[in-house]
Amino acid sequence: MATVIIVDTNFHIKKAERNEQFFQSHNLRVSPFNEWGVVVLFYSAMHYVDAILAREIRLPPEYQHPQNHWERNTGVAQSLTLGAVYKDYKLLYDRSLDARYNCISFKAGVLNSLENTGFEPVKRCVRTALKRPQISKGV
Amino acid sequence: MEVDKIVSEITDLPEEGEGQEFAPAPLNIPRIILTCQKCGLRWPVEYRGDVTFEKFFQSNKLCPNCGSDEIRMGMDVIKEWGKWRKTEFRGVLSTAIRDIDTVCREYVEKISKIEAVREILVVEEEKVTTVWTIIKAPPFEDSVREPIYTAQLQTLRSLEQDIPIDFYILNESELSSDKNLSDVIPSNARPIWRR
Repeated sequence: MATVIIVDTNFHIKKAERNEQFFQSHNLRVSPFNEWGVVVLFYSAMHYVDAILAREIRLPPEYQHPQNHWERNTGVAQSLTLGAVYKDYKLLYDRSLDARYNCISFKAGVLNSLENTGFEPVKRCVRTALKRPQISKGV
Repeated sequence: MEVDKIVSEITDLPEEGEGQEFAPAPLNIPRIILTCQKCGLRWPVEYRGDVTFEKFFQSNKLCPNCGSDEIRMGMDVIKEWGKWRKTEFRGVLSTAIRDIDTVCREYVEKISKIEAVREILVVEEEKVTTVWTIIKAPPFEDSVREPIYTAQLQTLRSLEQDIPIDFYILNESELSSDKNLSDVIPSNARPIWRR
């Protein structure tokens, strides 16, 4: 039987913030390797949604502590808090697949747009729900 | 956890066909509830070890009330015990495959009306079925995706049981000039709709 590791909300928030700091500090938005910027933004958003899912006791255990992306995506859709940002999170998810597997090149400005329309709404939603101070872009 | 050992200790399940309501399962004891799609009868059956759902289903395939073979495996009790459910993933997946077809049909119905959608494919992997939606739209024009994400959201919210399904949208206009769709679509992808 697979070992299930349950981690808490604080862990996920720290991981999300750390990923975002990496994104900002390496200026991945304008990097020639900006596909990695997409991946980092996605993983930051992923930890943000995991922080909420871990508290959604209404959800089945596999969605509260997802072990893979499909469980997480379903959890986001069924979450009372995260359902509102499903489209934003899913855009990041799809874009990270584009970047990792389908060799899609992201032209200038796309990451800025993805950050504003995909990442920021997820981050804002989660931090508001958890009553955490908002972190502005680039900090 | 030794599931088989625990199952062998089940003693308090109602007899087949007895009643429509069941007391909560004792802690850590798995129970499967079958539901007849025709007459609505629900009845519990004993878990019989680590076998595929088809094999398990052989002796439970007819409704004791109306004789129908349209039986669905209930998930409500299984959901109460996520850990056990994971050990029985193969069984659950076998059951779910039939339901995935229905879910895909409903999804196709919703998004095939969207002009940008060109093709919908299903990729079956060991643990999850991924529905690929191929669109043709100006590169990185993400607003085109919105109604498709809405359809996905509705689909995932309507699931009454844990169905291993995932979605992915690919805009073929964004592929680099040296790539074709056939280069990126998995070889086992099965088209279910094409414009």
